[in-house]
Order: sequence, then C-alpha cells, then structure tokens
Amino acid sequence: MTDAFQKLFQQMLQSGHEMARALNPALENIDTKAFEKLFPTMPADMMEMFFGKTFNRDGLDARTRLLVTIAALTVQGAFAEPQLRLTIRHALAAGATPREIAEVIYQMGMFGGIPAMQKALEIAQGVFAEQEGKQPE
Amino acid sequence: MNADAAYQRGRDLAERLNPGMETALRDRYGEWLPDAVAETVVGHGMGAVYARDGLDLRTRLLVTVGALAAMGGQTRPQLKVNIASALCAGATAREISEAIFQMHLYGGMPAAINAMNTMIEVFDAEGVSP
Repeated sequence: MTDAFQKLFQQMLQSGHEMARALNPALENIDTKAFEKLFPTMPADMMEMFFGKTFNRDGLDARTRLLVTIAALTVQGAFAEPQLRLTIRHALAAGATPREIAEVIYQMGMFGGIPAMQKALEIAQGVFAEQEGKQPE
Repeated sequence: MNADAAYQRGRDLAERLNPGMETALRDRYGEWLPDAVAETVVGHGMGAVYARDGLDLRTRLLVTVGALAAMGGQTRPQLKVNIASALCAGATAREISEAIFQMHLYGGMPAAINAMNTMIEVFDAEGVSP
C-alpha cells in the first residue's frame, strides 16, 4: 500500500467515524460480533425437539442436521461468519465432537475449494477455543 | 499409512459406493490428464478423506449431499452420484430428503427444489419409494 493510498484510506475512515458520530454516538464503537452473543446456544433437548426427531420421527437428528449446515456454509466460502460460528456452537451442543466438525470442514475442501475450507477451519478453531475457556455447566 | 495403502483403501471404498467409478473416470479423462482425475477422486477423495476415522460414512455422505445441494444446479451430476452413495452408506431416503430440503435456508429455494428433483430421479432409478 502506497503512502498516498494510506492517507486517503485514513481520511475515508476519519470521515466515516465523523458521520457515525453525527448520526448516533453509539455507532462509533459498535461491536458487530456482540449481536451473535445475544443468541443463546440452545440446549440439546430443545434442538432435538425443534429440528430433530422428537416430532419428526423418521427425519434427521439434530446433530446430523447441524453438520450438514456447517458443510453448506463452508462450501459457500464461509462468508457467513457469525452464522457459521453459531452453527458450530449448536453442533457441539447437539453432541457433535470438535473432531467430527473438523472432519466435515476438511471434507468440504474437495467441494468448495481449499480457501473456503481454510477459512471455515479458522472460524471453527475460534469456537473450539472459546468453548474450552468456558466453565463446565 | 503409505500412499499405496491409502490408495487401496480409497479403491475399496469407491468400489463399495460407486462400482466402476474409477474406470469410468480414467476412460473419460485419463487420455487428457494421465494419472490425474481418477487418481485424485479415488486416492485423495475416497482414500485420504472419506475413508478417514473421526466421522461415520453415513454422515460424511449426508454433509456432501447437503453442500452440493446448496451450491445449486451446476453440481447435478455429482449430486446424483453422492445421493446413490448416501443410500449405499446407510442413509435413508427420508434422511436424504430432509438434508436437501434444509438447504433452502442456505442455498435458496431454487437450489433446494432442483436438488430434490435430482434426488427423485436417483430414487426412481434405484427403485426407492417413500
């Protein structure tokens, strides 16, 4: 990046901050990751009831359903980061192991390409780290 | 595990899921890309990925079917192969239907509908009824 470009970029950032401050002072320090924190991770029984086999006996169990979703979000390029993190947290809660989640993402390297796989693996690692730091319930 | 053993493991799995696939791929692409396509699908895809521990084969096939469905219509030939493989790996027709329909949330309704039509073709060909 050239100096001139860096200066231009700084100016753009600065005017963006000013605009945000003028509209709503709180916007300036907004943390978009905080939105997903508002969604609690559902307990396994609740997931089994909502989208597992409780009412839909011949259907698909919640764990498999969530693993299928992780696969789809990965092959799309893992651009939906908050959704992928949320789905990984739910898959863990529904009984999938970190290893199983990693295997799903690794397998998707063949279908969505290596960059998508790499990005999804990084996101998954972040979730695993966050879960390890959590107190056992 | 050495490369030969991984390849053999892939070949065994390919023969179980899609008999004749390796030969078909080699006949089709081998002339243009010697030792490439069939070897990558069987050796890497089947041997180094699908035959791994850590996730059961039925789930492996269901996540692939879901991913291909979410990617939309361009994956139709691969989707057909993987739906047939999923049946082979012990997934029920209903489970495959559920995995595909769920993808309307991720790939959109057109992708899900196209995938369901592909699925019905495979079920008809395999003599699978609801």
